[in-house]
Amino acid sequence: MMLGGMADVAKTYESGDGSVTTNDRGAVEGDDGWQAIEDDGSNLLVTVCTSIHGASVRDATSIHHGSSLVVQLLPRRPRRRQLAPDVVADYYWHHLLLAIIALGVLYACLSRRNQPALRAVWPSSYAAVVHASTKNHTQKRSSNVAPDAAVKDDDYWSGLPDDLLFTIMASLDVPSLRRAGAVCTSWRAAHDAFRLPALERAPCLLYACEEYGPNEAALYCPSTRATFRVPFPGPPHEKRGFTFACHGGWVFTADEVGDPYLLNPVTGARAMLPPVKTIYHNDEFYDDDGRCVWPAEPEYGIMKPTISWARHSEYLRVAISAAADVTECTVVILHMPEWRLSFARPGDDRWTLVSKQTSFLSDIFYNDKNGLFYILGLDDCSVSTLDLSGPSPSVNKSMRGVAQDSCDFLTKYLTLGPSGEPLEVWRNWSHTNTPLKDRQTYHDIVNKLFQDCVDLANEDGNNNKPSDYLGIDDHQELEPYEANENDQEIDASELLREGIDLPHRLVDEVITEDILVFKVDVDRQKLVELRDIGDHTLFVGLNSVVCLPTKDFPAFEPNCAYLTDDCFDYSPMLRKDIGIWNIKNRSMQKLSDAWPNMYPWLHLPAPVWITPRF
Amino acid sequence: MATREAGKKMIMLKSPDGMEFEVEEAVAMESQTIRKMIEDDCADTAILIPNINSKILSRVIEYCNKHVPTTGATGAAASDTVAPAALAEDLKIWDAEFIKVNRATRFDLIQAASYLNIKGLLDLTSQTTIDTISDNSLEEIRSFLSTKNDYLPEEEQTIRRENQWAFQ
Repeated sequence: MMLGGMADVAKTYESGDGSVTTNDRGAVEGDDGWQAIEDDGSNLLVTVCTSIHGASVRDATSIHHGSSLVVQLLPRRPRRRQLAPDVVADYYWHHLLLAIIALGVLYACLSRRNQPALRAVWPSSYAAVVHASTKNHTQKRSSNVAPDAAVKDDDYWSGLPDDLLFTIMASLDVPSLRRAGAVCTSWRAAHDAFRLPALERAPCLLYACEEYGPNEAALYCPSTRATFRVPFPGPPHEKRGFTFACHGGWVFTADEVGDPYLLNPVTGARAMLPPVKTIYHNDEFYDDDGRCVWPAEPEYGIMKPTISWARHSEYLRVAISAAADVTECTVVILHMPEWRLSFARPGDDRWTLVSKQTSFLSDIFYNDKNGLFYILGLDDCSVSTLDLSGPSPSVNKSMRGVAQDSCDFLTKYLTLGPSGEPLEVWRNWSHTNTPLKDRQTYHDIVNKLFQDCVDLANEDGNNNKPSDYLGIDDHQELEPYEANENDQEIDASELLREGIDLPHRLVDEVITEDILVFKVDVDRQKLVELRDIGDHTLFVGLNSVVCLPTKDFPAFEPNCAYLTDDCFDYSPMLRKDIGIWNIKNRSMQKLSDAWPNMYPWLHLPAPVWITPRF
Repeated sequence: MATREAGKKMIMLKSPDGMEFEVEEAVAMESQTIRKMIEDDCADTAILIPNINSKILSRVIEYCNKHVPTTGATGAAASDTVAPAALAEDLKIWDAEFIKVNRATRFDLIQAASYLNIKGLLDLTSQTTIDTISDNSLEEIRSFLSTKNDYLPEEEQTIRRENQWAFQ
């Protein structure tokens, strides 16, 4: 009986144009994605895979052998919505009679709980009038004729229709989604359609959005064009500093007072790191609340206290060594003051300064091929290796410094090129100050945003007005501010959202003007500019910069640099320099144009590229 | 009251177990599925709701009655003295009570909400399920939803090993 049923399916299908195979579960598979399997009752289950919005959606149909209805498989038939009210409505009139007859037959066949039955209000062109169900459930549920019996054997949730299951699963964060997938085999099938493993291989964008609220972040996977919810516990987003993405799927982030920790945003795993005050000099730099309290030293003329928070100002770059267990990895940070390097392992009491000589650095990178960290000089672009495997740190210069014009608006990164050679990436950006006439409004906004900073200034009695923070000279004469009819009340929290059009471009604007890529030729001690990186693409921002071949990651454009904001100048949340830079054409495409189905992101924590691991 | 009744178009909903429910058209039209039928003139006299039994259908109607826009629908009770915010809060409390049902009824409700396309009810029933999954361990989910673990022991072990982090 069983083999006969399956063979019939195969034969019917083969007489058309398709070919079939039998898989190891005994199911018959068609070459265009359908699968037929017989469950332990008398039901034949046919599943058809279709693709909607990039996610694979399974459509399951169970066929009663006992009925006299003809089974006709229609390859590539339009996907039938499981509970398709539009189908019901569209065909109601034209096929009213047919539907009533079909329903009558169906209802006689099915138990009181077999509600999915109605999903099959078919037009007459579908000869197989069947009821839909997820696998292995039909028979079980069909037997529950008496309501009392149904209460005893009430495993109907595993038969939740796929469309509902998808809706529910799409609202779960990744750990919950994994748990849901383990509940039973039919839920597993729905879970698999989310293609979570694809996350592990390609860079994704981790960002905060209003949509997901304060405790979750969005993980956009360009390879599948899917967005996942991930837990992002900690302070409210606006009280976070920058978040850095590192090797191994870890992010380095800080709590409200600037104490750092490692977080795997997919699994929710955390590892504590020594507090900010244990970093070299920081016991006198920040107070217990993470506020900068560097004492004023007017005799030097430069030490006017600035107001900043450890979480915003302390960390410049982060690199993590690869280790199977996070407690064994080494975390190296490039930090303030003086752009120095310190390192620690999770669980350590304090940060250790690498050496008093290493200062004014630009980037730090971990090479997992040789276990060495690479460091890039801030002004001279020299490259050194840092070995932390021995009892004391050893630094060796591998590329001498090169003379270059000092440029304030330049950020430099270090990564490894396609053949394992170091690459330097320079990001040139232009900086537009807020037009003078708009500064008054700008003040008002920043005052709101930094209300607590201003309070601090007042407490200390150091006359530290917001203008200090903004770097505006008190004596500078402001042009009279004229009210504009387009002015509107701006909510400070609005400013944290991307894409708000502020009146008169109130904010200081930062725009990437150019990306330069240099190969570090250690033998010739030269930097060689690459005008073209071929079929490779770069991911640049507050992450360990990576250079990947696009043949392995077809979702990304070759010869491009995918950029996120990482400009540290003053007010971090007020810029939106994020997009795809074409290295050859020297032009930028907005990220929201390339990937329109992302949610608008918040400025804090700044979006970062991350290759998740779980 | 009588004039109000007279002014309202009533719709007859029939459940497959033979029960009939007469509801105001506005209440029935909380369901997009029924709305479309009415708009397409497919519902002159009575609408058969074939896969929803009378017990669930009556609960669904109860929900729609409560959630139908208040302008005139519930008569004097929805006077202009009730602030919209208070009303929304009131509805939330009502919803929370409404969904306190056993898992079998909840399952029937989510399916009914989906079939009848009643967004509010679908959101409510889905959210309850989402919360169940989010807040509980695998064993608790299985027990709350009474889903049978149909994995082979070795399959179960593999899944647990691969997803250890998600089960902690």
